[in-house]
This record gives sequence, structure tokens and C-alpha cells, in this order.
Amino acid sequence: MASVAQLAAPQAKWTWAPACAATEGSWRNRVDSDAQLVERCLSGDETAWEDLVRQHTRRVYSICYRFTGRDSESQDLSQEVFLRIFRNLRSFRSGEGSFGVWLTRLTRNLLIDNYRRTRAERATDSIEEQLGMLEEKTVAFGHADSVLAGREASEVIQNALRRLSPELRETVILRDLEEMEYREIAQVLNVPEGTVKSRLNRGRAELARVLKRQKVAI
Amino acid sequence: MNCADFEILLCDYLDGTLAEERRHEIERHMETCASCAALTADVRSALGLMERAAAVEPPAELLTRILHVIPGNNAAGKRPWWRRRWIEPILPWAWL
Repeated sequence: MASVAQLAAPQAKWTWAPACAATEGSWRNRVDSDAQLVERCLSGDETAWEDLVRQHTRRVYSICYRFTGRDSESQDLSQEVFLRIFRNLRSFRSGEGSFGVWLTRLTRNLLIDNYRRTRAERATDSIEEQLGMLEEKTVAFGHADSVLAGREASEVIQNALRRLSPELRETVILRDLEEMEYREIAQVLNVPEGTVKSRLNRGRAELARVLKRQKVAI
Repeated sequence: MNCADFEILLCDYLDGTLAEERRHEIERHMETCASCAALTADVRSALGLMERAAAVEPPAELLTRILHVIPGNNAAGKRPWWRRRWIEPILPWAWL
């Protein structure tokens, strides 16, 4: 097995498609085909695993990148997510929820573990560094007379998301950037739907306040 | 309607899934409560920006990397042919 360090870590790419590229319909239609792919994997079909990874890499990487803001870390985490899926595929029960929810829950749990593990590392970032970054973004994106869109908007959001608490950040990412339903998010986070909505309101409002502080025209 | 009720319904209001009567209640509350009106404006603007943002795409190499590290020919704990053919017949513990 090749180590992570042996493999290249290219940069994240952006597309000009709307952030919520996967529609609710496509997410729903995928449920059946995912269950079939899992069945095929478990029966020893070698191509099924590749198809499963191919279909879900974007979602896993996107959630990791939105949460951490780092390409290299997101790639390592995505790889770890698929390793865990691979090892635990037999424990997936299609009757207890969709594969997408199971996969997202696993990704989220790994992100939270990683967040706790790297807390000390992040605490060493000085306040000056953080302020410097804030000013830099304000200068780069603070065009009050133009509407942000595409890659610029995506980078501004990325920067603002980092200032949200993990519980608000993950809720905003799953609903507004990954377009999951409230019911599915509740299953992933293991909280009632009311809690999801409450966190979503607070997360969105906090995001708007961060952007205002950065003098970003939204 | 009080502010706590308002917050519970805000997501559905912005999604446009509230019944008309409830929607009117929300709108009447916003007319009399400046902080809930401000909250709604903030949430709306954040949502607008997220809708205009580009999607994150993984580097093309990531798929290759994952499949290289976790190849499908060992999916779901399938044992390699040489182990099944040569080792397992003679060593009972090798099935474990």
C-alpha cells in the first residue's frame, strides 16, 4: 500500500457550475443504484468498488474541503473515508438509510475526530496571522460595487466558514453547499430536524456577520 | 408569534415551503420585530452568496490515488487466489 506522502497532492479545482451541482432529484435517484453497487461489491464484483468511489469522491472531497479549507488535508481525509467505507461495507444496511447518508455520516465523524486531534495545532496560529488573513481577504474581495460570484464567492465563503463553530459549519455545508434534506442531515448528525434548522439559522446569520465584518458585498 | 417560533419556521419560510397562513404570520412578525427582520436579511444574503459560489471539484488525481491505495480486487475482504488455493487448504487457521 502506497503511503500518503508518496503520492502527489495537486490543488483543488473550481468549476463555474452552481455550488449545488447535484440536484435533489439526482441525489434521490442515486439511492437505488448505490445499494446495488454495494451489493455487487460484497459479492466480489471488482468494478463495483471503482464505480462507488467514482460516484462519491466529489461529495466526500467537497465536504472535507469546505470543512478544513485545505486541499492536501482534504485529500488525505477523503482517502481515509474510503478506507473506512471499504473496511465497513458489510455493516451498511440499505434498509436503515441511504448509502449517501451513511457515507456522509462517516465523513462527518472523521472530520470531527480530525478537528479535535488538530485543535492544538490550530491554537498556535497567532491572532496577528488571523487578522492579517482577514485584511488580505477584505482587500481582495471587498468590491462594494460588484456582486461576487463563481470562484471568488466560493473563496470568500471558504474563508468565512472557517470562523464558524464546527457544529454550525457542518450544518451549513451539508444543507447549503451539498443540498441535503433536513431529514438526511438530522440522520447524519444524529440530532432532531428542529436542531438542524436552528443551527442552520445561526450558521447562516453568523456567516453573514463574518462577511459584513470583512466588508464583503454580498 | 414570538421570536423563538419565528426562528423555528425561518428555514421553511426561506425554502418557500410554509403554508400561506404561516407565511403571513412570519411576515407580520418581521414588521414588528427589527432583530428578526435583520436576521432574515442576513440569512438571505448569506444564502444568495452561497448559491452564486462555484462548486469545489476534487483534483482528478484523487480518484486514482484512492483506487491505488484501496484497489477493488480486494473488495469486501475477498481473499487473494493464492491464499485460497495454496494456504487455506492446509492451514485451518488461514480461514480466519
